[in-house]
Amino acid sequence: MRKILIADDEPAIRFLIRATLEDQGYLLLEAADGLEAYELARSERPDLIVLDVMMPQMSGYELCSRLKADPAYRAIIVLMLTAKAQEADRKQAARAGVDYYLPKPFSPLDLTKIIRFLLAGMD
Amino acid sequence: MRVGIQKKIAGGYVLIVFLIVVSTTVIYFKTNQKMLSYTMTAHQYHLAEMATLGLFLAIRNEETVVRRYFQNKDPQYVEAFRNAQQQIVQEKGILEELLVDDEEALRCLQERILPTADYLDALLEEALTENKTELAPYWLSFPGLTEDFIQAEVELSSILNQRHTEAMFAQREYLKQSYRLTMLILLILALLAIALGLLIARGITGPLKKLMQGIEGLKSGTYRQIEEVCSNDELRALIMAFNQMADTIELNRLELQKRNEELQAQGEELIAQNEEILAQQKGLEELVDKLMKQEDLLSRLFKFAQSLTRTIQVDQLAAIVLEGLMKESKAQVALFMLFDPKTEKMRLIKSAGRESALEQITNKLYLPLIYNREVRGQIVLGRLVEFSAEEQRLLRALSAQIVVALDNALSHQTVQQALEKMQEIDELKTELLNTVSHELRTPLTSILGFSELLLKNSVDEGKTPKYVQMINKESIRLSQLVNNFLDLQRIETGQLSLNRRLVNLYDVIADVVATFQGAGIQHTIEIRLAKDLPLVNTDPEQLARVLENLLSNALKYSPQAYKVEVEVEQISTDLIAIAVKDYGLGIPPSEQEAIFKPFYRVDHSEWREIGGTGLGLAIAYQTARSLGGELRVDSQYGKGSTFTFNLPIAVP
Repeated sequence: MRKILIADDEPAIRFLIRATLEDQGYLLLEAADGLEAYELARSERPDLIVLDVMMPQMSGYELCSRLKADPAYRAIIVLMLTAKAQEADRKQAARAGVDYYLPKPFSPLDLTKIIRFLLAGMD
Repeated sequence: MRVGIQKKIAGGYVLIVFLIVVSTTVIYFKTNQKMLSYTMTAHQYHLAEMATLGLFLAIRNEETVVRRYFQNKDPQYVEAFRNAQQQIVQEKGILEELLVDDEEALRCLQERILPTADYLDALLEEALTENKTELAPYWLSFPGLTEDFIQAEVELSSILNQRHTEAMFAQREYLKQSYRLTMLILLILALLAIALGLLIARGITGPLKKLMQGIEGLKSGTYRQIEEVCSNDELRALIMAFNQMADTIELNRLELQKRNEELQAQGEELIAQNEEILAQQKGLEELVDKLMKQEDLLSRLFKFAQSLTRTIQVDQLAAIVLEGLMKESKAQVALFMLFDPKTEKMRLIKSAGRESALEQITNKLYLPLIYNREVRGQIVLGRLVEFSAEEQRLLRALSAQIVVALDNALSHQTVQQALEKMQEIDELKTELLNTVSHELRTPLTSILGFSELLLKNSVDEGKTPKYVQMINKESIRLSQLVNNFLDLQRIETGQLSLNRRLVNLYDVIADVVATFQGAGIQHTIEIRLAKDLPLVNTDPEQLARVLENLLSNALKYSPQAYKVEVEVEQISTDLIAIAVKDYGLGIPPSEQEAIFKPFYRVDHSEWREIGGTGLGLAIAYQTARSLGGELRVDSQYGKGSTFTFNLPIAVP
């Protein structure tokens, strides 16, 4: 069973993502800030992280950079959700090694498809 | 007829030689004749002496013979007598001839000497003729040679001798005399020769002198004929030639003078024209000089202005200005000051040289920097040497350039500051926009997401109300967010309209607290009001908004506490302080200033459920300000915060 970590400081967004993905056959984990998400990622080794950019303690970019810099966690797929959709943010995301970039607001169906696609690529 | 100088001199010499010859000849002959006569006289007397001696001898012989004859009658004695007699006659003849001019000697001879001989003759003749042989009678009658005879003999000898000596002496005297005479004549001749020489020389140099004077005169330009000289030689010819020449020269001169006068007349006209031209030229030169000076000044100004355009930064401009001025003025110290309109004082921007020496330097030049009648600053130059008027002119001209550059720099500075402010505002706006967009996207995402899930029809029946509830909750949040944001914008842009009236603070506070308590909170809200609080002239709705936001904030950030306090007291005659105190998480000191900014939220990650728009405190802060009050925070991290709202009692 695929393991997915949901990292967002907004409870409403976490709830939405959980509601979207819960009957798709994934094991879902949640983190409310960057640091917690980073530690969970290291301890739980999820296959994919749905990552918010603006989080307390540690931003999504930093978390992603750290994971991608470490060979042991480089394989974790990072899907970044962001309210910011400017070109600069896109570039920053690319630099941090983000695998997929999805602006808010997003469609839950699209999210499901994208995650399925991303995880299928791993096999 | 002309007699040459050579002839004159020759004539002079001939004359002198002639005189010498004549005079020496005359002297010679004269002396010779005289000398001969003296010699003759001397010789005559010498001969006379000799003859006398012979006479005397003969007379003595006669006497001796006579006597002997009378003694022995020897005839031989007669013969001897005859011989003596003959000798006496001979001598007598010689003597009488020699002494013909000498009366004294002749008389002595004839009267005293010769009678004795005559007597002897007669004596013998008588003896012979009478044949008287008897001697005695004769002898007795013969007195012999008498005393007188011997005397006469001596006298005559001495006379003759004297005469001889006299002649000799006279000869010698004459010789001496003639020698002196010769000397004298030669002397006279020598003097004569000198006089003649002088005369001739004078005859030559006199006209020469006149000629020289004439030449000098000609040289100095005064025409004068040389007067006739009484010499008939080459000099006269020379002088005549000179006079002719002088005449010619004078004629030429007169003509020349005439021409000259004509020329001078023309020349004067020309000179007048020339002077006019010169005057114009001088004017022109002065103009050119002035222009060149001006040009020099202009080029310096241009260079200076160029150097000034190198920068539009005030500081750098001041540095360049001071460097330029120090160079131009050779000042020891220079200060660049700007006028500060706020303090109305000059502020030192930059200095060059030895600033400490400014007090000792007496020569200071103040260059005010005035633009459009507005004082912008001033430059002070201090120098040991006094500033000349020309230097001051130059420096003032430079300062005029500086003012323009300074104004540029100041304008630039103002524009730069405005630009920076605008940029800052723009950045703030962008940031705000980003934040707003981010804040709006979150509830939007939820609403859109849940509604999509519901529309899929694949949701469990049991989950549906929960999703709808989420949609509702997030919609309310979205609406709140929009409202708050719009409120904040309105307050910030001063569009808030206030409805002031006299308000009882307790009523307002109680209403707000009641709303919170009705919403089912876990905290107790304590209200503590001071006694005798006055009514406050304010807008109760806005006041309520401040309180709501403060209370909402206090409740939200004290999740672990159980109470929040509201305290009201009058702190001065015109100020009321409303304090909202919580015992919650508190705000770190570094963030206390930022919390009043929109969308700023202190990160309390361990309390993840604390939500909100991040606009509450910003709204409270701006509303408080629009009511004429002030909001500040006093917080200890981890122990809680107190927000105090100082509200004016009357309309401010």
